[in-house]
Amino acid sequence: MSKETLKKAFEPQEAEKRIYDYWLKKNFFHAADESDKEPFSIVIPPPNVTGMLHMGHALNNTLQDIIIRFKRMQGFNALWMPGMDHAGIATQNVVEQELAKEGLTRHDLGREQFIARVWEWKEKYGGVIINQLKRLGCSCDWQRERFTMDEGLSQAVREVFVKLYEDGLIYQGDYIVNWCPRCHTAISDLEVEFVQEASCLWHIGYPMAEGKGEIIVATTRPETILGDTAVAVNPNDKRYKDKIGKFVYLPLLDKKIPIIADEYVSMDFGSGALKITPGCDPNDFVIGRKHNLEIITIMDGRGAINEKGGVYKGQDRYMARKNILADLEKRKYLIKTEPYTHNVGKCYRCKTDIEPMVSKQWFVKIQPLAKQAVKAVVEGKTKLVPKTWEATYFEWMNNIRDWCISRQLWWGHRIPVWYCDGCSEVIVSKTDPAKCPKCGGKSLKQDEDVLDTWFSSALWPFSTLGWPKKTKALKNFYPTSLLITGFDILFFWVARMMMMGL
Amino acid sequence: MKDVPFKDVYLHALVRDEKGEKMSKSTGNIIDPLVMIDKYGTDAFRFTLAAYTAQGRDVRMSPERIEGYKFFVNKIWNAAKLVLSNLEDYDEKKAFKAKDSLPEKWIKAKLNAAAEGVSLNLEEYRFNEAAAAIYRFVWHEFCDWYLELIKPALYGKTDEQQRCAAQRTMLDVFKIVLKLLHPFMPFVTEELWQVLKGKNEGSVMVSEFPKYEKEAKTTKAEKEMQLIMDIITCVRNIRGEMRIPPSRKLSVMVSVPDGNSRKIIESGKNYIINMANAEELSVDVNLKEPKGVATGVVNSAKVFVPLAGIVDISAEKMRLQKELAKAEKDLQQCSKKLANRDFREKASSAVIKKEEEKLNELKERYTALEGALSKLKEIQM
Repeated sequence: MSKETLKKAFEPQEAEKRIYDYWLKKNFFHAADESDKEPFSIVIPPPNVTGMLHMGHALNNTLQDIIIRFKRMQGFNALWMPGMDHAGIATQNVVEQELAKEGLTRHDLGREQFIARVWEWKEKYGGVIINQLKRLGCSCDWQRERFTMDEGLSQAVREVFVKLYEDGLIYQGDYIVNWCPRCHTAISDLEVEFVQEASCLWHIGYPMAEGKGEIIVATTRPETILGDTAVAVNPNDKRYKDKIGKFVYLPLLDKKIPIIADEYVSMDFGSGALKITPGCDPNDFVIGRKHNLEIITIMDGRGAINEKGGVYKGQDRYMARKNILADLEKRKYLIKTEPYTHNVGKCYRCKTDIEPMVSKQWFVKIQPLAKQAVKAVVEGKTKLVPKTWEATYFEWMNNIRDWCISRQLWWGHRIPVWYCDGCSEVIVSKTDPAKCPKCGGKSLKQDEDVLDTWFSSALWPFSTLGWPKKTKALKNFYPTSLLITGFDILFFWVARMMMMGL
Repeated sequence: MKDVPFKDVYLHALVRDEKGEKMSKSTGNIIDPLVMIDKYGTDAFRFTLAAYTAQGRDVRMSPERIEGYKFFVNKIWNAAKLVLSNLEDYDEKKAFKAKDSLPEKWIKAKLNAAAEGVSLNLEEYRFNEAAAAIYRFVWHEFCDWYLELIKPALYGKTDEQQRCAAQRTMLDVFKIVLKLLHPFMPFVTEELWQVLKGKNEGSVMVSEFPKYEKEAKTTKAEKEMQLIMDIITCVRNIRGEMRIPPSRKLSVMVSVPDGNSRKIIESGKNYIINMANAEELSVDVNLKEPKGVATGVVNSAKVFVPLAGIVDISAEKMRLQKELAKAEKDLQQCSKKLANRDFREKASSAVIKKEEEKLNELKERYTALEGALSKLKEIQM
């Protein structure tokens, strides 16, 4: 036995770095592509490249490291695949803030230069969190470290996009999306945070176009009056039986709009009549489609009233609300104002009020994919622990809406769709096309939008292992053995990986 | 890919503060992991996270909790120091042949249970229970009991054989402890492993994880050791409750129901004398209770500690009355539970049997306490 003696107490500060370097030097964290040992694999939930280690990361990665060390010691060929997420909005915001200090906006730089600047930022500051994970003792296979924007993963993104498009599972359409007027992009339903706010419910009288009387509607957003294209009542509501099919005047605008009937309208709320603004509200959008109503977009991307708003044109949405209320009052259309607390949707990144807006966006048709993902859990191919989460998972998957995957950002995977200037052909391709396959024209424009960050992270379990190439790592380690993640991203991420994997 | 991306998905909860509040800048209750690592070390930090990660519950953190596990790191370090300081003349060949004494047999059985607890719970992602299994073993079974039990052997107060067996077992068990702890506390375990490892061993992180015997039956040695330990605890309790200083040597008498128990206790006589700080110990079958003693009950044995010149008898009377009241309450609870139809219908037969055994034990205890109290009354009269 050695005669070594121990110090009075363990000194973590000194020992941890030395020991970690020893492990690295011995290459203990590396799992071979091929091995006689049984494989065991975990992919890391990729932290944002902008991330700084917080308690959530610490917990998540400690648990992963416990399991991977346990399995490694049990004799498995244990792989813990590390990497980072490019984090579209978050990263773009950080770099924009940096630019702002120099008095610049991204538009001053232009797209290409701005992206170069983001990469520069990434090389310099990105990945602080990787070193923080090392301090936590994480035994990731660092030789395999990936980034959602690296070449291989970008190729995987294009591959999947094209495949889904060809299978008819990606489409472009007019849709009402959650628009953040500050970030200047559409964000997904999941990225909207609802906050209870005290506001008012304003009751406004819409005069009948013919004869006497009026219909009173109640709204929390009087400025949207500018986009009203109907008033809806319940077909069983006796109060309005003789008014269905007739018209009312839209206050402040010299315009007649119809009174329509729809079961959706609740007879108990307010007067039982609902103003319908298909361009400003997701529920109204659905009713508008059903009744073939005109869809009017009344704001621009910054949330200011556009030319459809008459005299209110150019006013910011809150300013317009104030002025419209004043005018309604002046002209005696405002019947009643009552205090009212309701949920307001906010951008989860910058807390700006979300503006539902209709625009052209790319979508993934999700139902067929969701069905598969539900089946896999029902059949026990994937097990959720604790099992109680399964019910929540099914509930969500069965009520899922199409996934809006386009974002009006610059930092991210640009949508692999090109438009031919010559013949307007739409080209969806894995590689950048040199000319139009239809007319041979060489003037092609790529779609301006990028993909939702979660699109690339949804491919993480197989893209990091080398897919679409048929690598040995992929063959050996996929399906991965275990995912450890917080329940808060079950839908953002886990559910989407399930859908993309299948 | 046409295949699921993962076989298991473990969903953990969010980290909150110790009151269960969400951590946020505005509340000012954010804990910065890097500050915690700097202050308490990564191992203590990681172990705390594991210890508080129970399925379906929030993970509640506070710096105090992390500090608590820093003490655990110290405990491990000090145990290693003790192990190391007693290995200077360790002769592996000689030790190989040495026969295990009771404490060796006992600690190996407990180690097997701990290895099972860690492995099974990690397989099922019950991190808190895995952490608790190894924590309990290291702190209570290995440090508090085993290392204390073998001190006389280590210090050469017994024969060479016992000393060798103690050295060997202490080293082997501690190395397995390091392996079991490694996934939770990678750094301190590696540091100690490098000092204690054998010639052909490398890093603990690539060593083989301890195997265990599944659902091992309780051995005879375990039961015997347990009885001896219970008697030590009993004397210590009497000492504590009667406020007798630890340095004061006591004489201890044990009354047992049969010759077998007597043999067991006599074989463990030295352990009791050392760990209960007794100056003498006598064991007899159905010993008649002497006058002026404090009485403790261990299963069917009785422990007597003469108090003359040591303690005030009237305080002892109060103690027994308190114990009796507690025993009565436990007894009522237990019989009420067994009388409950709902319990009878829903519980498994094993659980019911266990409860019935508990009831019998409680009855015995109650009778014994009652007797002791009346004896005490007699003394006073």
